[in-house]
Formats: sequence, structure tokens, C-alpha cells
Amino acid sequence: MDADRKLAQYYLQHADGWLVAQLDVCARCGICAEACPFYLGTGDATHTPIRKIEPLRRAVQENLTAFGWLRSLFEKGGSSAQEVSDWVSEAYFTCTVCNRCSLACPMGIDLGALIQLTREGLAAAGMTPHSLADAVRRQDATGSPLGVTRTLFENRLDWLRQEEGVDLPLDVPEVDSLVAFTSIELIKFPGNLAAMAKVMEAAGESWTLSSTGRESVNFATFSGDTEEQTEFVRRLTEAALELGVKRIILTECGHAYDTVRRIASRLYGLPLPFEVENILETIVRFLREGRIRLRPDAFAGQRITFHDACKLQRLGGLIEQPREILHLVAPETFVEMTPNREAQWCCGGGGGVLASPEADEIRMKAFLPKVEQLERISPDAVVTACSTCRLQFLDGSKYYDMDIDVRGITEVVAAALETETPKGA
Amino acid sequence: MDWLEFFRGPMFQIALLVFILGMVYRFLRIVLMGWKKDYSPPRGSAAAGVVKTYVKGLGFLPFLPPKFPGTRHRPLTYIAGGMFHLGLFVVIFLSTPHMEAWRSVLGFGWPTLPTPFIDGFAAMSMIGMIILLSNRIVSPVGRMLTGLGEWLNWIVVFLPLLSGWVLYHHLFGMPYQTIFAIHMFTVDWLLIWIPFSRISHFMTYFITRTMHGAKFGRLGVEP
Repeated sequence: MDADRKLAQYYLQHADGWLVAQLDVCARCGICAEACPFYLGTGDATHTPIRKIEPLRRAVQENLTAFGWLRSLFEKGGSSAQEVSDWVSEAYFTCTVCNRCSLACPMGIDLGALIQLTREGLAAAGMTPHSLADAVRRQDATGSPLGVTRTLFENRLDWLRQEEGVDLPLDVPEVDSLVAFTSIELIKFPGNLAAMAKVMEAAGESWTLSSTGRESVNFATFSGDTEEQTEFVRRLTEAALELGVKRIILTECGHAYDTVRRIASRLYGLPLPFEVENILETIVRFLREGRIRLRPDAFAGQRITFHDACKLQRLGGLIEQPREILHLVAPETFVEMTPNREAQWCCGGGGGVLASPEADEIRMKAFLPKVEQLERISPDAVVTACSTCRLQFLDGSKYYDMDIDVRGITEVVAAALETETPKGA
Repeated sequence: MDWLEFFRGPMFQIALLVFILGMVYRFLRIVLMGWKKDYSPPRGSAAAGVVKTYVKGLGFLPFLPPKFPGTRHRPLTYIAGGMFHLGLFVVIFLSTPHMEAWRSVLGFGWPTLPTPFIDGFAAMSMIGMIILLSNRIVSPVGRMLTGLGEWLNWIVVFLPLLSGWVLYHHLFGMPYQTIFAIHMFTVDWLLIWIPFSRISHFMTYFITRTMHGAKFGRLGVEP
């Protein structure tokens, strides 16, 4: 099988001391299984995280270990079509690359990075699932994985300006901030754009949207296509450089924050020619500079909880910011799920899983640990800063018939903005 | 030369040589193959992450698993792992006869624990191993991840512990010389086996833990 050889070749080309150490150290204890929502939701041992890197492990074992070499003298190599299809399914459909397993691993194996490398190999060998490969192609051609062309984008902004009466500046040079939304927000959560405009106006921030750097989602991160991944980041960063902004603000997207920071620093070196800020950091900056104020009674009587997104919190370190914000808008009624912060349970929708119809059934099972967490505190609303998590929560709460509001943090902040000077001040 | 002398003398020296050369090779291979540097802007201190990950990984997690959210269903795997490793460490380094063996190799010694303590730690270690093995047999995940290599590793580590135990307690009425020879043979075999097996994780652990702590520390996340 040709693709099979290509796959092993990719892994061997990318084999370094890091990879060898990660694979050498595994004691095959299986503790990672307990940390995975896909294992926990299904009880199926085949979804144990360490098994999701099987093609990678096999390539290294067969080519870079003494026993592997010995064994290759007696055994004929090659993998069956069934095995290969299993590898694809385990790497793409039963993993959100949330990296929770890495924290549970007694050896500290960086499983998330290993699974990402596994995907990169599968992508290089042309084995990416169609749904993801198509989305990457669409993003390449139209600028958005959902097919939001420049015209569609501009029409959508016009509609929002009329409907919501907000200012959405486009392609304005020399302002402070370039805001990049996700197509998901544009199509499914347009309220986020209006909310953002209100927050920016209240803070007096000079900002713009860009018609060329308009997409923060990077489907090539999901598929593992490293060339396209860099290309999509480049479109955004070049727009920022052309406009001469001080910073790029990324809105409610999980993976964009890490992807843009990592790839931009590879493209331009450190320090970056612009800051990369997540919306959570932006809001906290406005609060600390006294540029916006939030009403503590905005959600009076509503129990509000926060869902930590794997890419923003566990991988991004933006852990205290959302709590700082929510403690202001719901000082009495903010409740934490347990576990939370870096140990949170992943929603089961990220990493491209939500975009793969093949994973529809299993991603609802992976939502089960979340259901359990929510049931323990029965909140009125769950707030998140990632649009994929938000979609998964909407699907999940419907599927499990839960009466719970799902909100994006920007909308929460916009709804709590103090617009008038308080009485007596 | 009788068997005991052989296993304590030339065979031990060969085993030690294989062990050292093998581990040096494993270590150098990782270091010389190198790894990619993370160029993204740091959000926290990598060094602080490394310190935290060792405090957690060595001192905390193996003994207080319910505190860790990943283990709520099978805390026993975690505890058994902690018991086994701690017991083994104490037996290898803090028992008098073993310290004497180290002294003959290294040229210096150190204070040791009274024998009854060592006895307890050895028992704890073996019980830990038996629990870990049962988990491999009973749980579907354990079964899936256990191959010939894992069985062999378990046996190769368990035999020196067991023979040492028999030796110390003079069990089964075996002549001292015989059981001592068996103990030394299992130790030699363990030393030779380690560099070729996953037991070498006693070294790689410190590499991956450091990498893990540095990565999470840099991200500004508790490792």
C-alpha cells in the first residue's frame, strides 16, 4: 500500500529526540484512557489516547528500535486497509486534541502534540477525511471553511450594521486593532459581531475588520495540513501588516490563538511585529484600564458557569481572565464546574470533530462527562469563549434535553456594559 | 568458580557494562536527535513549570490520586504505581546489602534504613506490582496495551524482588548459596534487559517530565 509507506516516511522524516523520548517513555499503563471524554463517554478501550497515535508508534518502532528491526527480518510489513481506516477514524473522529490526557499521564507524555503529528502524517499521505479536506480546500479558495466569500462577508456586515445599528469599520488603516472573527460567528452567532462592536465602542478602541484577513479559523490545524495552516495564518498577519495595526484581536475561536501565535512567531520571529490578543485579554485590558465597566446585576438571580475551552485555557493559558470577567457580571451567582481550569473536561466538539459528520454520534457520547458536570451544579447558563464549544453545547444540551442557555462571553459582556454613569456618582 | 561467584563477578560486570552503554546510547540518541524549539511568545516561566511538574509528578500524584481528575475511576492504578516505584527505590538504595553493593561499584556509601523497614517496602513494592499486573489482565484498556514486552518486563522486575525476599527470609529451606546465586542472576538479567525495554523509562521519565513542565509553564498553565 503506497499511502502506508508515505505515512511512515513522513513520521521518520519528522522523528527527533522529542518524539523518540515520548514514545520510549510510555509504560503502556492506560491511565490516559481515564482522562479522555471519548473513552469515558463510550467505555470503549479502543479510544484510549495512546492508541490514537498507532501509525506513528508503529513507524518509529519498526524503523528506530532494535526489536523493531529484528522483527522486520521475520515479519512482512504493511498494514491492512482496515487498520488504516481505523487509524484515520481514531486520530480525527475520536479526538479533539484537547490534551487532557497529557496532564493525566504519569510520564507527562505530550499526547496532544503526538496526535497532531499523527494527523499531519495522515494529511501528508492524503488520508485526511473528506469533510476536513474539503473544508481546507474551501478555505483556500474562498477564504473561509464555510465558504464565506469576500462579497458574502461584506453583505453580512452591511446587514448587521442595519439590523443592529452598530459600527463595523472595514479596512481602515493605521488603527490600533485588527479584529478577526470566525466564519462560525458570522454565520451562526452574528450577535458576537454586534456585541464586539458595542464593547469596542464603549472602550473607545480604534479598530477595524479586514476583507483579506477576515478569518481566524484555521481548518488546516484540524486536518494537519501544515502548508495550508501557514498560508491561512499568513493571510491574517499580512492584512495586519498592511493595515499597520498594533495588534490582532482574535474573537471566540479556540485554536486560532495558539495557531496564530505559534505560526506568526515562526514567520516573523520574536518579538512579533504586532501583538496577538484573544478577546478575553482584550476585555480584561479594557476593564483594568477603566475603559469599560460592567454591571454586577446584569444577570441577577441567574446561575452562570464557565466552560474552559481546551485550546484557549489548557493550551492558551487564558484561565483567570474569564473568571475575572464573570465574577464582575455575576458576583453572587457564578459557579464553577468541577474539574475546571486546566483540568476541565473537553466538550468533545473541537479539533475538527464537530465538522466531521462521521463523528456526529460519538461526539454526543463524548459530551457525557460534561452533562454529568452540569447536572451537579444545574446552572441557568453556561458561558464559553470558543464558538465550537458553543455549538457543541447547543447540540449536546438539545440531545440530552437539558434546559440551559449557552452564551458567548462577548455577548455576556456587551449585555452587562454600564452605559450610563451610575446614580450619585 | 561456582555459580554465585560467576553471577556476582564477571557476569555482573558484563551486565553493568551492557546497562551503562545501553542507557548512554538511549540518552545520547534523544539528545543528539534534538528537538524543535518553541518560538511562540511565552506566557509564563518554563522553569517554574518544570519545578511544579516534579513536585506534582513525584510527590503528589502517585499518592493522592483522588485529587487528580483523570483517575476517578481507577485510582488504584495510580496508587499501585506509586507503591511499586517508591518501594523499589527504597529497596535498591536504602537497604544495607544493596548499599554495600553500590559501595563496591562507586567507592562510597551512605546511611541505610533498618531491615524491617526495607522488608516492608519490598512487600509494598511486590503488592504494587501484583495490583498493576491484575489491572493489565482485568481491565479492557490494560489488556489492549499489554503485549509480550509488558509481560516480560514485569517478570524481569519481579524476579529480583521475589528472590531477594526469599533470600532474606530463608524461605523454602533453600541453601543460602543457591538462592543468592539465583538472586544475582535475576539482577544481572534485569540490568541487561533494561536498555532494550520500556523499563528504561526510569531515565526517559526525567526527559519527558522536564519537557512537559517546560511546555505547560511557558503556556502559563499548571503542568
